[in-house]
Amino acid sequence: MTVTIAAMSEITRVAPWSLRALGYSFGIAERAVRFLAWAEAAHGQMLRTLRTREHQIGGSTGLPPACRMRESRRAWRVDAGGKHLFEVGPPAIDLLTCDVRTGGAGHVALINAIGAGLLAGLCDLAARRLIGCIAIFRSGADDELPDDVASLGWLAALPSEGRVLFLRGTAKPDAAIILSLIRSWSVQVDGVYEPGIREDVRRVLDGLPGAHIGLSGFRPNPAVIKGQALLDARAMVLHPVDYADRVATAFRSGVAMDLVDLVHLYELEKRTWAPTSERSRAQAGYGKY
Amino acid sequence: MRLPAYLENVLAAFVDHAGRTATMRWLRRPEECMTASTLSAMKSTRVSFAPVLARRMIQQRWIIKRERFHCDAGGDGHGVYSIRAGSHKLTYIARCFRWDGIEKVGRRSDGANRDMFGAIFLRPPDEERIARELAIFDLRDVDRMRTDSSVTGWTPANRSARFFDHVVDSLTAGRQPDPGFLGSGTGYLLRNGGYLGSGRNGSLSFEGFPEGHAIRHPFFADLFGLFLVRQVSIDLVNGIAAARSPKAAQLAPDIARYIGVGNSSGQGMCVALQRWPHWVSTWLTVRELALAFAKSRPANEDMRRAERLRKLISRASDYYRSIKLQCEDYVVSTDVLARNIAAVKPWIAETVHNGAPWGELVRRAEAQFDGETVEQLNSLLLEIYPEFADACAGYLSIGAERERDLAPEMTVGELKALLRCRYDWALSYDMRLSGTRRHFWYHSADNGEQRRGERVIDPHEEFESFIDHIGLVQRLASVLTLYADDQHMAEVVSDAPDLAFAVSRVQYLADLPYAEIRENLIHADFIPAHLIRFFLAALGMECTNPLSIRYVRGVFFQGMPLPEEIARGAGEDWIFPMQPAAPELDGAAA
Repeated sequence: MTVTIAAMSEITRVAPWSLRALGYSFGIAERAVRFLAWAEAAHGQMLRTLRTREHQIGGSTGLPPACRMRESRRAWRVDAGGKHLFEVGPPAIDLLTCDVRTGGAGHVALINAIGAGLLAGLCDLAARRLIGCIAIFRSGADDELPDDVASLGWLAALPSEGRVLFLRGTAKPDAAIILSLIRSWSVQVDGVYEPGIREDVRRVLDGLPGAHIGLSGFRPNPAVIKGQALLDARAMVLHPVDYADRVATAFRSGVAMDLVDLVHLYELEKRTWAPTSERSRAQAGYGKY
Repeated sequence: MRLPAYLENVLAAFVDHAGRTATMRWLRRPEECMTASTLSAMKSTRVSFAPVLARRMIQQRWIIKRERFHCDAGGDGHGVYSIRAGSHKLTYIARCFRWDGIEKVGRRSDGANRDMFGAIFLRPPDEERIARELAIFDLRDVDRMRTDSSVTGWTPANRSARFFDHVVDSLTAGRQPDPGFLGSGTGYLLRNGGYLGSGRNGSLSFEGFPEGHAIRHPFFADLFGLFLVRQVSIDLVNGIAAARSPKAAQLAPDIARYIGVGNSSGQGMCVALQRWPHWVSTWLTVRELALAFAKSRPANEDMRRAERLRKLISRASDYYRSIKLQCEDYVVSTDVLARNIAAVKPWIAETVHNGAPWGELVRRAEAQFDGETVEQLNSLLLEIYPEFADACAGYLSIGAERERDLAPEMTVGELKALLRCRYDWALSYDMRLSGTRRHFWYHSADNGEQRRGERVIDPHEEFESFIDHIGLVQRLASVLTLYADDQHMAEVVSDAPDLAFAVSRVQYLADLPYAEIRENLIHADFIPAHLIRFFLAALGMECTNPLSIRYVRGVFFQGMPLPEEIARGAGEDWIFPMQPAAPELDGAAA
């Protein structure tokens, strides 16, 4: 493996075109690239999946749209039907955000999605919107994840002291623990969709092959925002992860990656370039018209 | 119209409530100044980026010291410059290549085949690091050239062969070049080859600049790189001449100061303007507020300002009279501009005598002259209230850092109302005829340069760059009809994820003035050069000159003090430089 350093802005500039080459429209690629770059900085190896899973990702762009269903006043079920989180991830966070902002709490069960390596980045979006977010997840058997990302587990992202605090669950998800944490972190006692969380835990532990991501959103109370959650985390033996620092470091110093992955990113981009022709050259602007 | 809080505070610091009302009365509405032709007429002002950077350099007395520069008679060599920018130390290195006899007119189309490459280091590097960067330049292979985050960007540049050779030949012969000849080429020796920074080739991302750094400001790194290219061009002609003859002259300061750095820009600028509408809003809000303030002030309140305007008009008129553009097909000719702007001069005394606000002077010009003359007058008005314009310019970096996010809780009804209120001009635009959708922008295999193709005829329409904001808004409005007014945007975006960009664009621009360009860029008759000129004027280029409908040339930093003058404490008043007189005697031998 030959290691190279890519700049974050390089990824965000080139990757929208690489994603276009895979079949995404401008609107989706433009949004997805922020999560791709974030995940590369936080975990590494996300760009690799554009190379190793190119056909899977490209194929997913032509699948029928995700299907959403209201399960309760503040819960959605979204069947991604094999689509990637590049496409279905941000809208899932939008559904969650909307319910939290309008009703105090929300839950989205996102099933059959690939690309679980983006999950922490999606939770980061929720937290930057000042929403507490817990993701209970199990990736699909055919998903490829960065080494830093577990295939099964749970993760909390909280707005705390002006940044996003990430806490990783250390063991298999436990509904009782997660519910008690949300109750202690939420601004309102009833800010929990308990049936959804219990179902999430059951689904991720049931051993079936399909991917399941349960997203719970809530309004964090002032103590969480002032940093109390970190103390709770230590007491609960959760692992704080400073993804924000990793991302800031990536902006300052770049991101180390396998050269072949960066080269592939550029190769994908170049597929969107029209071949040079006399007609194309005539559009370059030299000459009077 | 609502102003950003920063600019409201600026205004409050200068005027009372009545003054604010007067200023806001003179503020132009977006429909008056957001069409392509009106934007095209706008000129560089003191709130354009290059003049803002230049003021910072001059006021802080940045020190740019040539540590070494060596080249042979063919121009092969390198230079190292140490820089003190305020409290920050940087280093610039330049690698100049032997002339291969090929004039390279494109920006990126020639890949790594440039006549010069430079690199700005964020901190002083050691000799080993400098050697490594120079070795990267020597690869001259765009696919293998990579740097790292210690470098803010590369400054490729190409020779303007005819003028470069004239200067070198003159100096080699022991005399100064002919300023008139230089002026006929708009006065540059090296031409910008397209700044490669902000992450390109592995360089430092903009967000990675340390807080408060001297060049952590939109376009400062790019433009400072151009200023350094200008210095290299001067050192290079001196170096080649010295290598060719022991009796060679060195470029006289008056002529060196008259040399700028050339720039040609193409259609990619239109894509950038559409992609980053909050940039457009920021530049124009600063500019228009500064202009409205100046227009609102009584002409007789301070005779020194009237006198300053009179002098500036004379200089502008002389400047336009002195330059010769290669092509004036798409612009008001410089002779006409010179004549028109001079005709305004006698009106100043009348405006002062009547105690009218400066805006009345502009109205009189609007009634009599073309848009470019009026915009030149507007630009000069900003100069006579520098304290206000400079205070407004503080918003340039703040406005550019605005983050776009979607508000998923907004209801469909609320977004529809927003569309009706802010995008009525786009919704009522008729896109049915094929001519309204004739063009699309795409990346060419020529190193990814943006080109414009015709639908049906040209390939790769499926990979078109985003430029059609009217179509985007119309599609969004159309999709929204499928939803009840009390549904939320989260549901819309969940069903149509590609619309997230459209929704967030409408939402985050809702409270920004001057954000959307009111023009259909994909129309058969749209002239890209209009928006390219606007972008270049916002950057601070004087005298933008379209050579075709897609390609605009010009020069940066012509007349700006030289590094040694900046270090000594040069004056800030350098715009509209006059062509130096031809030296009567041969220059001093080196």
